[in-house]
Amino acid sequence: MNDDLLTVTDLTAGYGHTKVLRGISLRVGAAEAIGLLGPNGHGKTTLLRCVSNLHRATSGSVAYAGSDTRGRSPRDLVRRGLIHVPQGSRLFPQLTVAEALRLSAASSGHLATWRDGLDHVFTVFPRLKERRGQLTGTLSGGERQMVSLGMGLMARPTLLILDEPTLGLSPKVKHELSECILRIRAEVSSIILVDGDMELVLSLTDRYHVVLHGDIVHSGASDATVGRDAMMSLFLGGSADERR
Amino acid sequence: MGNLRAWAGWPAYAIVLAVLPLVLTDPHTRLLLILITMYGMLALGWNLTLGFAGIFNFAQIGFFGIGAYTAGILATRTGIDPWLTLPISGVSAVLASLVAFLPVLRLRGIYVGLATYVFSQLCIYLVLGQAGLTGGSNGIVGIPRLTLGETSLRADGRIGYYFLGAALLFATTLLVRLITRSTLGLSLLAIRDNEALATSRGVSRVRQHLIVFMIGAAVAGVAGAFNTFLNGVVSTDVFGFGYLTLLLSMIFLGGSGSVYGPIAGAVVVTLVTDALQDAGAWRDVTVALLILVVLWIAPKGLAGLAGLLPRPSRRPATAEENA
Amino acid sequence: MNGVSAILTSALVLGGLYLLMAAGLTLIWSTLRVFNFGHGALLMFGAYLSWTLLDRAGLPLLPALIGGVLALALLGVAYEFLLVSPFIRRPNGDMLVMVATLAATMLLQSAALLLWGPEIKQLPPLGSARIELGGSVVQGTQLVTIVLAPVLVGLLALALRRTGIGLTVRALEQNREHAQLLGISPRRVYLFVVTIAIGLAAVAGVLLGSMRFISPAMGDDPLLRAFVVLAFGGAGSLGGTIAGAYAIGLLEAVTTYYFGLSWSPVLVFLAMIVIMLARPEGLLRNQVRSA
Repeated sequence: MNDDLLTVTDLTAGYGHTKVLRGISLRVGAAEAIGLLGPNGHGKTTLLRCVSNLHRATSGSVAYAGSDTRGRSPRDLVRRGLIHVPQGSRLFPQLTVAEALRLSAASSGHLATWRDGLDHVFTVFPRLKERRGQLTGTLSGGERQMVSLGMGLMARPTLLILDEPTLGLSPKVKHELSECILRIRAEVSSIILVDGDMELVLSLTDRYHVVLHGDIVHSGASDATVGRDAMMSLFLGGSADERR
Repeated sequence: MGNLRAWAGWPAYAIVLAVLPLVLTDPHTRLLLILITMYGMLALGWNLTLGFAGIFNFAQIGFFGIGAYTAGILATRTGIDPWLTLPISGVSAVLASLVAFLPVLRLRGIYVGLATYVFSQLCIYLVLGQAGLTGGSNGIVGIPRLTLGETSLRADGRIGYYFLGAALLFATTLLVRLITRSTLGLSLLAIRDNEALATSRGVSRVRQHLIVFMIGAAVAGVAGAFNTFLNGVVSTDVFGFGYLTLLLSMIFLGGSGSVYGPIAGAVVVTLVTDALQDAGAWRDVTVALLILVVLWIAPKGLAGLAGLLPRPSRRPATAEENA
Repeated sequence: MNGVSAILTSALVLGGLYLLMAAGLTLIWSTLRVFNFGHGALLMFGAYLSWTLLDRAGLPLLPALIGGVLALALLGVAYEFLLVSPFIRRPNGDMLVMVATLAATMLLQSAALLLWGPEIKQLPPLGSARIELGGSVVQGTQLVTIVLAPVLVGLLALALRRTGIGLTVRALEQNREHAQLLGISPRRVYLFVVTIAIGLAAVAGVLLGSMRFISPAMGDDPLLRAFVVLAFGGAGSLGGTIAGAYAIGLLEAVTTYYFGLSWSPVLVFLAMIVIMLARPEGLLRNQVRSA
């Protein structure tokens, strides 16, 4: 347990009087990919925002690489390899693709080797090479996601957090992007993946958790076929319940 | 509304205002009391827009000056009864507020602050440019005193001015209290806290803001006229930075979020600045630091600090009731 | 024809001064989303600091001026720590910053009175170069202003475009949250931006202190004009600010020439009100954006 890369213990958080997380605990080992499943609005994004210190938790603790992250700035965490690729970012509309990628290398302390990083990103996302001089505000949704992931890679992640990378994409683009994520999976130490596409999450991760009403209600190994049906009903039951 | 306990404080307030000058008879203390009533009135009127409605209104000092000049010009150049200039000054400030409100139609937040600040400064240029009427940089001197029958309000340590100021302060306090409890007040809170929701429920931002803007301007205009008769002179100082920062310090020291806080702010700041009267520029240094310290350590001001004042926590509650 | 060249010279000088002020305010506005009402008082302090280094410490002209600008930029660090960052994340933070910077203006003006006394001071002309421009002679500080202001702001624009820190500033303007997730620290960027902006104000102070006089209230007028520039050019775009500064400079030069000194500000401010009503986002915003 001690060599876990990330340990979340009894985390609660909310906005104003609304409680979103109700004592979540989870861990991510070194060289492990975990998936978070569950309907929207049940706290997955809030959990990730707490992990990267963008949102302050009410109680509980987060430890990354053996030390508590309380009071550390997001910048500090980035420099230690905790990279969060946020959901549906509109990026930096007035920066070009190349500028955005360089920015990420610079702000994570890898400016000296940013050209190597750029070459690497371009092998993972060949499309971005063609678009390198284009303003990110003029890209398609799929291309924007690629830039977002590419910026994540430029920061040389140890733990890469991907929040809904395929949200709102067409099946074709989604497929292209999941191929890229598969390649990233092979080279990044640890990953937390949140996505609405259950099959995608299960195929890319080692373990999964189902988050409902701000807590983990079910966990399992992603490759086990047993339990998937049970999880499905939990998931669907949860969302049906949510719709009221 | 209407329940007895809620109104029990008002006779007490009136009695305190009436008895104070009988206890404090020293002429200098009297003058301080008069200044407190005027500043209290100004701070309350300004806080209607600045704190309560959340409009970045920095034209208030312009309305004050316009009221002051209206009274000065009318009282020296026409044969009009000086008493009549008080309400007329209020009206002229309201007319000016219609001009100052134009930017509020289309702008939001800090841009309103910019435009209204410029409006106040523009008043100075207009006054200087119309030297034939306003006396330019010399100002207007020799303004007749207000009298009641044969008695000047200056008589007996300016006691007449005190009672006039106290009556105006009392009326302003009552006005503010009525507005904050009215549907107008509630809709202003709703707009301030969630404009999209409020407008979707049929509240017109422009209309409600215009009303409160005009009411605030009327208060400032009358206070300006009062200031003119109290001093007997008017100069462009009335538009100046001195009044602006002094009033801001009163509002924020008292608590811009509270209804009566600005009165407490007016009392404290008037006494502090008087104590430092001979300190020259140190006085301004102190007032500036006072504002900053309040903003740093007690952003809700005196009202928020101790919960001493009647309803410091009333505003969030009302906002919720209203939502 | 002498009138035309006099107007043009005056427009370039005024435009340059307003540009130095407005560029800083724009930079602060676009990254921090607040207006610095103390910018005029900082200009004044920069002029006094340079005067002190020159007249009291006996430094030569150029080191004194540069020293004054650097000293003020250092003051800018304290300014950011005390007046901006404590409030900026609070609810209603923009109003708190506005009030705090107004209080700072009062503080700096009375501090200047205490430190340097009421008698008016002046910096010597900066340089003796002179050129003839269509019949009228431009020399000394005016000439320096005409050249230095666009050069400095041009360098700033270039730095924002080309350097790493410039990239960081632009990223924070465009998407604060994602910028933080990339490891950009808003605090560092704010500090950088405020320091640069206040440095530019100090340069304007030195120029103004040499062309006119140094007094505690010397920054009030330039600050108001800079506000007009922001309304004109659209706060938040440096290109719009450059165009706006020279447009206002020209407007002021023309109206002063034909209507006199006391009517010019009234006309300039009326122009501002009209623009704010017609195009709240700034008159020049879109053209500049698409260029």
